[in-house]
Amino acid sequence: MTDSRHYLELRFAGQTFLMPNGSDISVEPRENMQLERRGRAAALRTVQGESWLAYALGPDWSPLPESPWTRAVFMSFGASQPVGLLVDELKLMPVGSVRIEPFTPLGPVPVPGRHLFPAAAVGGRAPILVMAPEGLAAYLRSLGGDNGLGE
Amino acid sequence: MALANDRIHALLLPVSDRYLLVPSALVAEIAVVDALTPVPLSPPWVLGVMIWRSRPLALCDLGRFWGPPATVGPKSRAVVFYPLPGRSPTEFFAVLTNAEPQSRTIESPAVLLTDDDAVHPHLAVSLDIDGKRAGIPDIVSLKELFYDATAVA
Repeated sequence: MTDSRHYLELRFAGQTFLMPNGSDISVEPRENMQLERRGRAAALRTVQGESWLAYALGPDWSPLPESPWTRAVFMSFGASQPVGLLVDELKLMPVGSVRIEPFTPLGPVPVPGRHLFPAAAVGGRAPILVMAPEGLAAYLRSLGGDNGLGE
Repeated sequence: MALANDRIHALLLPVSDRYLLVPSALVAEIAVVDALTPVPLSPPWVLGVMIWRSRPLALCDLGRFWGPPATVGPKSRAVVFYPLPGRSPTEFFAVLTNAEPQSRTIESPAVLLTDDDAVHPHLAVSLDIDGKRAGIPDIVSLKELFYDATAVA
């Protein structure tokens, strides 16, 4: 039986990451987004009067006011307002096409109780980090929407 | 002050401006540093992750704790350590060295250094070995540094 699960292959901040796809994740193209900065968020999507904030990240994962993003990847995980990551490129990758091995990042956890990269793909010359979607969502939420960049 | 005269097979790892002295039994392999992937939101002593034996392997710059930040060069090596006690059997980690480590059998009493420069947070003791300043890593301290006790498995 064929495994129909996919990873999202995401490219942003000059680096490629994988993230398991799931029902708590939705993808929106740039044209469905409002290019309106809200605090540290670089764009937002308005759904039924609520603002879903989306963040562009730099190589150190600090929020950027803008980036060459093409899509927003929103994660909900039980929250009423999903939070989004802005990515330059996005591809779907069948689970069976990549070899994933567990990984324990060293050092303190970046969000309470969680590391963000619990695994890595080891099929190429360099590993590709696999992001934990709930951890990523927690990190993006920790950036907040009320502190303006450069303010 | 002299240490007990035990015979220990060890490796001297050139790290920053001194050496780390570690029992050979802790080391799984000495590898060439291959393509490194940065690990965002990691502390600066984590240089990145590389592939070793089809596993992701974190590479650390421990020399940063007593010297300037390291740069990876053609002579650099990744000394791959077995997982620390109590950790998962897959949790190998690597320490960057300036050059190929030197194998030593420590037989003669070594001089224990006690000057100010000998004290570092992640070294248990500092020694003079044949005129080389060397430190023995503090495994308990490294384990606390590496693994956040609040992380959910």
